[in-house]
Amino acid sequence: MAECGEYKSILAGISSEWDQAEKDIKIAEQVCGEVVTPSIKELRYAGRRIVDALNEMAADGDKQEISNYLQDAKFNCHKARHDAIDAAISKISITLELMSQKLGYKNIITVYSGFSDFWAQLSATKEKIVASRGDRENRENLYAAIENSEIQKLVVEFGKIQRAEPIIMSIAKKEKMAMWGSYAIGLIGIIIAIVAIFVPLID
Amino acid sequence: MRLSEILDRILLGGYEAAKKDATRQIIARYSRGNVNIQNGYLLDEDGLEKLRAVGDDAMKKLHVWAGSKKH
Repeated sequence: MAECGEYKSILAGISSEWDQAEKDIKIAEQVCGEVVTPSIKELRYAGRRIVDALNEMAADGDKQEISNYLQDAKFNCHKARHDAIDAAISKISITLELMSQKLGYKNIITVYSGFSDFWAQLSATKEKIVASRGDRENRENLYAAIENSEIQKLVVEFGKIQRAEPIIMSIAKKEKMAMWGSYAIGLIGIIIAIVAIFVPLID
Repeated sequence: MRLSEILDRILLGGYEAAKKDATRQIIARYSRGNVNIQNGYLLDEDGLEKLRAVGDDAMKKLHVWAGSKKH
């Protein structure tokens, strides 16, 4: 069997990336359990590559191939980290957009006064992610900054708004019911008026 | 269509349904499923079970080799 010590550095890199990916997945899970699926899949692919590498090592296989498998595994862990962050940010962003569209900005503000600050905070993080797309060299630093502080603050704020969501929904429902009620009364009024005008004419 | 869905559509403009749909879209967007399938990374349930057992063992070895104290 090939010596694993030869790959010590890359194995340490995989271990560190994997640990960070797991941390990011745990944070993203607080936003929505389902959105971490792509990240978990990436870790699964990393596991597959590690198994392939171990297989090659056991069979005294090609060193370059072993190294390639391990590099792939590290890259999969890296993608798992980014996917967890991106999916969590997307979920927060879309939920806030839907809330303001469907439940009404006024109703949100009534229950959760920090909405504007939260929105600004989220926009700043999204801008960093967009900037990282065009800045490959600095991408790691930008993501590390998001991982180390920003995402955690966003998750805390998102937790607050999620706890407030049932109240916001209840206010929005009452508002809609009042609106439909007034439409119904208006419609009945129009029907009565039509009947009152046209029935005497028929007679 | 269930009553809760009808009420959601009438009273909340389909808020709950839109949230579920958005979550599905996010998962689809980041899964890159087609690319992985093209690269031959598709596993069936039996294969996954076997891989899981081998992978657990491999990860334990990896942590030892990498000098990590975490599991």
